[in-house]
Amino acid sequence: MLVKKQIAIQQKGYVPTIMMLCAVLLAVAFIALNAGAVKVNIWQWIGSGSASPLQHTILWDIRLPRILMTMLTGAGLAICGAVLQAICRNPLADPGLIGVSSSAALCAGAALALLSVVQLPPLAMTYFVPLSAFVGATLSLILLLKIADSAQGMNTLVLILAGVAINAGAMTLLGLIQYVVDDATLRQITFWSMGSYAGINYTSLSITTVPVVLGAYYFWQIRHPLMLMSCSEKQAKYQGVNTRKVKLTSLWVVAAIVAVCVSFTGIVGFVGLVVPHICRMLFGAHLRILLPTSILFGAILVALADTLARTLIIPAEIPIGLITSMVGVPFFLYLIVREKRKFNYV
Amino acid sequence: MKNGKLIFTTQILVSLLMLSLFTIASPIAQSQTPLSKDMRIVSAGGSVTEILYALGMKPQIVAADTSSMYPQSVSTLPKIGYYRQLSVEGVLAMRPTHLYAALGVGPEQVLAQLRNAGVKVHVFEQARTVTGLIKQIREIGEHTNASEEAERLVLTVNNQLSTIKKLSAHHQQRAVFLMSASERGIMAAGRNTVPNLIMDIVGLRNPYDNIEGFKPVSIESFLAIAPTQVLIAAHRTGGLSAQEMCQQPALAQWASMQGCNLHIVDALLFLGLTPRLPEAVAQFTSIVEP
Amino acid sequence: MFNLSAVTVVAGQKTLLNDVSLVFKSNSITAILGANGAGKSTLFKSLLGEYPLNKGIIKFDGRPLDEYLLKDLSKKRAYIAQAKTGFFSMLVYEYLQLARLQYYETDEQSQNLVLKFSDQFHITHLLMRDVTQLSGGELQLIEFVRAYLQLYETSNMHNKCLLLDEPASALDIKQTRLLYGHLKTFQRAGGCIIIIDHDINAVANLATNLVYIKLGEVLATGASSELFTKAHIDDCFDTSGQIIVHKANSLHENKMYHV
Repeated sequence: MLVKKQIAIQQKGYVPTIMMLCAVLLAVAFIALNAGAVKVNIWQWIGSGSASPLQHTILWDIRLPRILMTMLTGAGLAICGAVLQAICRNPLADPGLIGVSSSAALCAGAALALLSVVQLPPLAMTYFVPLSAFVGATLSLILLLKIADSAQGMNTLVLILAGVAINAGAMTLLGLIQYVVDDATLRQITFWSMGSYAGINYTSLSITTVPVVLGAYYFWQIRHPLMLMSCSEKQAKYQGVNTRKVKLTSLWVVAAIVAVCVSFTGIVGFVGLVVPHICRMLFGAHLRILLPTSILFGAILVALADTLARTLIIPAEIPIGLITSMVGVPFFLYLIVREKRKFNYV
Repeated sequence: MKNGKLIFTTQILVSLLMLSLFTIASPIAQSQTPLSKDMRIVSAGGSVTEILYALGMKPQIVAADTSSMYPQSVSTLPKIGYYRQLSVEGVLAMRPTHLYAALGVGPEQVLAQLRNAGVKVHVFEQARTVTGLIKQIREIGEHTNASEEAERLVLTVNNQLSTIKKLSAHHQQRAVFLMSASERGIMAAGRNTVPNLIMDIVGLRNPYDNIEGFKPVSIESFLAIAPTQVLIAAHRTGGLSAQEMCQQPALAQWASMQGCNLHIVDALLFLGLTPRLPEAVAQFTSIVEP
Repeated sequence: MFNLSAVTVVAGQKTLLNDVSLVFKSNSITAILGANGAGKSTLFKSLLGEYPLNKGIIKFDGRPLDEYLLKDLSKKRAYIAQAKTGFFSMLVYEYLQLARLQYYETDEQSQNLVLKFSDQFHITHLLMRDVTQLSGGELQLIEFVRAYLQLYETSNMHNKCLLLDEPASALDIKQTRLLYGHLKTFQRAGGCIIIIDHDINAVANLATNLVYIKLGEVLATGASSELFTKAHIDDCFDTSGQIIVHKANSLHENKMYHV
């Protein structure tokens, strides 16, 4: 049958697309490994196997974990965005919507403020801020669920509104902290909020791998129920989907991914919003293709952005949140205008 | 769900494996102490750089941060960014043996990475007192095997401080140091700042010693204090002259009451804890009691 | 299929349904008729489990409705809403394939079913289109096939129930005829269909059974051939009209109610 052939052709297109994106990702990884303030010739290093201890340190201990982290968090944030957009049935949803990242920033700011007046043993010092950020993120999700969830189900509108409220509250409290602390800590808080992959090591990398990989796996498993929910929640229920359970679990997974990413790197904006839309437009909207392409494209985007961040104004680094926002803001405006136009026809 | 648990456990084990592998494989820092002349020093923080120069370590300094502005020859050095947000590769590109930094240098993880790469990192305390300055000079001298020069510098600083004319006992001066004055309001120096220290040395009480660090203050409080002299840091005046600054809404009322006794002073001199502290004190004294 | 006993639903001060007892059987098409606010939407929604019952019980296929797991229920009861909007973009065949979510089968098997029934119900030409670009009428026809796919286990639809809310509102005359034809096919396979529609004439000629609702209570229920009378309709809608009988041919007879 003609249609059957058409379907087969359309579905065959998926695999080459994924392979193409993987190839691009590898290329970007290669470029990123080569780029930086210290001159490293990766071909020489691979070929002759010899490199000065400095080059070895740069490649293995500094660049490699950092690049892997950018890809991991880019992938994680992108897939969270795609899933939230499906659940909220709103193409403007992004991981920041649920208030997790701003609560993480709030608690990181509080931790930094505390550190400026209290001395901790060195081991605790390194992980105090990320840990506080993670705790803050978790508490904010619990609060959100307390507001929006009930035995009868979870109203999506209430969810979004509660997220807005938590965001506003967290930002206000953070503003208060910023007012009270001294100049040095204020700068630290500001820099933290703007996002940076400086100082990423294998410890933070391995910790982040867990929620991102597990989360991606879970979302892939529930891609079909998510698709149904993205059309209509009522209808999804009548077609057998336990919408409350899906929403609840998905929110926890999203919160885990976002919390861990934000704890180690600060807030990297717009990836969760922008990447799913680009992938939707370029590769297709069905989650079967959107999830894998968002993961790959998110990884590519953040890896590239970070490479720019640390090479544009050597030896200083531009906070990565600024670069992703610089790309994100015009695109966001374009999205809004496009949505507005669509609504005018209703 | 059984599948999920299996995958979860596998993931944890793999993460732990990766973690242990890379912890073992990371390079061990060198333990040899290099000779002074073999040192390659990266300096972060204006006051630290100044002290290093004063101790004669100029040949060993290979790079400095953007807040290092004194002496003039620092401007010829390659820059490694701002000391609160260092870039690890930017520093490593200079192949340093040592990083000497002022308190506030960061981020923490970058310092850890530098240590792992074999760079000796030392952060100097900077208590905003004369004792703190002396201590800092001595510490830096110890680290750079320049203890003799350090003692000489300490002596010089102490001598200079003791020769500064004290204010007459019945002065009627009230001085305030402003970090900035603009349409957003004014930011004043409170306790634990170098301007406060300078006032302390001279025997003047800082009217804002009830606030900590640099904070925005209300115009009302400023007018109520009615300072006879106001000092403001040069890098925050946007190139305006004292007269022009006095016409700003934040200062206009004060200027009309007290006269435009506004003095624009060098930022590093008055905000950094440097060996030029006596110079700052002397300048201050002459402003208050000309 | 559905067995309602003494069902009462109260919301706030208002009694929406009062002591309603009804039976919906397999192999039937039942139309629920009533004025606006009479309680037909409430009745309909109760069949969907949307309202907690103040009194009474609803049984579906012998078991109380609230004892069913959602995914088991979805294989026996399908709902087609009024013409929908707000889809996220996807191809029609992908949307139809999602209807087979609760069935354990391979991708190829579900695709073959989609193709088979798209052919049977004449929507093959729409399969490669994007759902967001369909007209309201095309969407409704797709929805029927989706619901059919959702319920299909064998060609015997004896224990399956289809609920339709204003199904013909977005359809043109030809599409309406097409859809009604599909509904009749479903009914003849043993299925139970329950419809709400404002166009009592269109739906009455389709339906095998009628239920009249007035002020939250059942006015009358029974075979449509018996119940589609001036007396019943006048009473239900508080109007005064007459029945006109069209004889298309000696076998076929259409009744219409005119005010």
